[in-house]
Amino acid sequence: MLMDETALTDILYGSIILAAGGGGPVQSGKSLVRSMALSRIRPKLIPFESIPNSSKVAVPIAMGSCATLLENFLDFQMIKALKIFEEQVGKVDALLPVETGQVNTLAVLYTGAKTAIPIIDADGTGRSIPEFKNTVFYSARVDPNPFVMYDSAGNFVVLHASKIDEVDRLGRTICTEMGGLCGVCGIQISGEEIKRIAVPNTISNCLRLGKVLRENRGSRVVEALVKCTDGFLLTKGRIAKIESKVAHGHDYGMMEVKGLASYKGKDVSIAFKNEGLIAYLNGKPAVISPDHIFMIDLLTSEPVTFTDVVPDLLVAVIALMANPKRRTKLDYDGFRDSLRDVGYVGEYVPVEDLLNGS
Amino acid sequence: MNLGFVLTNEYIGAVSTDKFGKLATWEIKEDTRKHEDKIDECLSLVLTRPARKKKSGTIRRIGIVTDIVKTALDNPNELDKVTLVRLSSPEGKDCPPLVTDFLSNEILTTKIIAGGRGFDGRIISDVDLKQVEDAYNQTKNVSPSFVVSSPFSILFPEQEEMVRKSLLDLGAKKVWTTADVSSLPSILDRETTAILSAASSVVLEKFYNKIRHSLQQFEIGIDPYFGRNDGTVALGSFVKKFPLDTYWSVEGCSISGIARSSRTRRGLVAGRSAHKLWLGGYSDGAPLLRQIGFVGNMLVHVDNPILADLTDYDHNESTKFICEAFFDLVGTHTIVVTGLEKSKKFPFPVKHAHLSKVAAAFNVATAGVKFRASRCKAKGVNVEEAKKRFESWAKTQFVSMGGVRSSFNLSKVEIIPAYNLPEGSVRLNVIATGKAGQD
Repeated sequence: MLMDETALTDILYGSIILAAGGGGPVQSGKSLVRSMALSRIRPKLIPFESIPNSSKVAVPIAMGSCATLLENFLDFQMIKALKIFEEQVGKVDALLPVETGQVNTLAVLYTGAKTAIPIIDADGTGRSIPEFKNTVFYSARVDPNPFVMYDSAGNFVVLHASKIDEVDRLGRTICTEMGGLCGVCGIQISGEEIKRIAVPNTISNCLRLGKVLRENRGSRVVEALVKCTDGFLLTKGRIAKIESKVAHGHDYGMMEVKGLASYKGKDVSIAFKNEGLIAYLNGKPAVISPDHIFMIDLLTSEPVTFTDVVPDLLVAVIALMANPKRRTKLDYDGFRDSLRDVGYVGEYVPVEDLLNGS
Repeated sequence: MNLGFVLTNEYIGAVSTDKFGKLATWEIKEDTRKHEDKIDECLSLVLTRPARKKKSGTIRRIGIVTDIVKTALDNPNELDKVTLVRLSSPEGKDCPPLVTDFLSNEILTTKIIAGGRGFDGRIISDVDLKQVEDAYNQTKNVSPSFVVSSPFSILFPEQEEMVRKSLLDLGAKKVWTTADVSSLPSILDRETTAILSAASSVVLEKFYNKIRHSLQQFEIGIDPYFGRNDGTVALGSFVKKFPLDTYWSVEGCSISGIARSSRTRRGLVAGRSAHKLWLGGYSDGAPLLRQIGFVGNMLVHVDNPILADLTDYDHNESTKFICEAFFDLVGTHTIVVTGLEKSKKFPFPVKHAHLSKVAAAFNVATAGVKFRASRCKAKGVNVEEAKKRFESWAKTQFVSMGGVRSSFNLSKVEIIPAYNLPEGSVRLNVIATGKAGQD
C-alpha cells in the first residue's frame, strides 16, 4: 500500500495518540511528513500477515533527547545507518519501527520511502517507550547486533553489545557524544520471528485513529476517540500541576489533572519518564504500563504530549489497553525498572480490571 | 482625554474617555470595507476636524485595536516576501522543510549556510560570511526581509546575531533572528514565528503609517498605541516589529476591556469575531493567556488569550463542560457577553456588557503597558549577572513600548529550570508593568 500526504498525516496523529504522552517532538514527525510530501516519495506498507518467514528485517531508530530533536533534524543519518547495517548483514527486505510514536514511526516510514524498502505494518511495542528494555525485542531476547549509530557529522559506530541489556546504556552514552542525536539501525530479525513477537497492525491502527481525529475535531472528538480505541475516559479537566526534571538523558515528571464539571472528583495524576508509565485516579493506580494513556487538548482537539503541557491546559485523559501480545509477565518484567524509576513497585493489573474495581 | 479605536473586518468603533479614564462617548458602525479604507471614518467617529478642534479637548493618548494582521495572514497576497537564512551543518544536507503549504515558495526563499551549535554549545560549524553575502546577493531583489535561524540559538545566540549584523551591513532593511521572537525550544516553531512576523510586518507598518497620516489631518502628531493580544498596549513604532502580538488583539483587548469597564477581577467573556463565537476569561483583571498558539495550522510562539471556539458547540453538554472549565480557571461564575445578538447557546445565565463591541476600543484608550520576556541560559553561565542585565534591558524595552519610566514596576523576575533544553539550562522570566504615556 502506497500512502499519500493525508494518510501520512493521519498516521502522524494516530501515532501521537499511541505515544503514551511521549514519542518525541510532534514537529519532528510533521517535518518528516512534509519532507515526504514535497519530495513526492511514498513509503510502502506490507500487511503484517504477508511477511515471508525468510525476510530479513531491520529496525531503524531515531535516537535522541527531546531537546536535540526540537532543535536538530534527523534525516540522512537514518539512511546512512541503514546502509552501513546492510554492509554488515546483507540486503534488508523490510523495515520495522521499534515503537509507535510521532518520531519513530515517521522516521521509519521516511527511511523506507527514501530507500524504497517496504515497512511492515507492525512494531516492537505498540506504544512509545522510554527504554529499549520495554520492547518485545528485549522480552524475546533478540540479538540486537550489529547496532549502527550515525551522526550528522558523518561519524558512525557499529556497536556489538555483549548482551541486549547493554544496548541502552552504551547507546545513550555514544548518542550524547554524537551531539545528542543519531540515526540508528540494528536488530537483524526474520519475518518468522516478527510474526511471533511483534505487535501487529500498529501503522494501520495509527491511520485509523488519525482519520477519526481528523473527521471529529471539535466537540465530538473525545467520545469518537474513546469509541474507536475501546478506551476509557478517565477524566476531563485542567492540568493543575506539572513537575519535571531532566536526569540521565530522560525527562522525569508528574502531571496532575483536576477533573472539572461532571468529572469533578475524578483527579488523575500521571508519572512519566519521557512517556507516561503509570496513571493514578484519585490516588489509586488506574493505568499501569504496558497499558497506556493519551491526552487531547479540549480547545484545539490536538493530541498532547508531555513536551507540550502547561498548567491550565484543558485536557481529556483517556486510557488504552495494550495489545494482548504485550500483556505477558515477560513483557511486564521489561517495564519493572522503568516503573520503579517513577515510584511504582507493584504488579501489573490490566486497566479494565483496575477501573472496574475502583 | 484618551481616544480608543477599533477597526475590524466587520465594524469600526471609537470611544473617548475623560481625564480620569471614565467613558465619555462611544460610537459603533458596521463597515466591511478594507481596513485602510475606513481609517478616516473610524477616526471621525469621535474626532472633529481642526476647525472645531477645541471641542475635543486635549488628547493625551490614542489607542488602536485591529485585526489587520489576522486578515492579512488569512489572505496572504499582501504579505511581504521573506528569505530564511538557516545556519545548518553539515551544510546543504537534506534539511526537513517548514511544515506548511502556507510558507510556499511564493513567500519564502530558503538559503542554507554553514553554521550551528550543539546542545552543549559545541560549534558544529563556523559561520562563513562569504556564504551570507552570496545568500544576500541572490535574494536581495526578491525579498527585503530576512529571518536568521540556528539550532540552540536560545542558548547560544551569537551566530544568529553575527549573521544579522552581516546582513544589515550588506544593506538588508529588516532582519529577524529566531531568538528575537521566542525563547522556547523548537527551531521550526521559532522559524515559523519569525517568518510570519517578517511577512506581516509590512502590512502593519503600512496601516500604522496610514493612521499617522490620517491623524495628521486632525492635527494630531502623537504616536498611537496598538492593542496587543494580552490586552495591554504598546506604541505602534514598537508593535510593527512584532505584528503577531496583535493577531489576537481584538479578542484580548475585548476581554481586558470588559474586565476594566465592569471593574471585576474575574469573569468570562463571550464574544463574536470573524463569525466565530469564542469564550475567554480574565483573572486579576488580565486575560488568561497561553505562550503558544496556532495561526492556521502553524504553531507560533506568541502570547495569546486562551479562547474556546464555541461556534460548533451545539451539544449543550460540551458547551457546559467548557464553561465549567473556564469557571474553574478564573474562579467565578460570571459570564459577560460582548457583541452578541443572542446567547441561547449558553447553558448559564449571562449578562450583557453595556460597552458591547467597543470594549476593545475602551481598553486601548485606558490600558497599561506590559513587558514580558524570557531568556534561556546554558549551564555554567553566571545567572545572577545575566539577571541584572536582563532587568536593565527590561526597563529600556518598557520605555520604548511607550511605558512611563517613573511607573516602571518590575512585577516578576524568576529563574526556573528550562524544560526541554539540555540539563542545567535555566530560564529567566521577567514581567514589568506600568502606565502608558510618552514622557
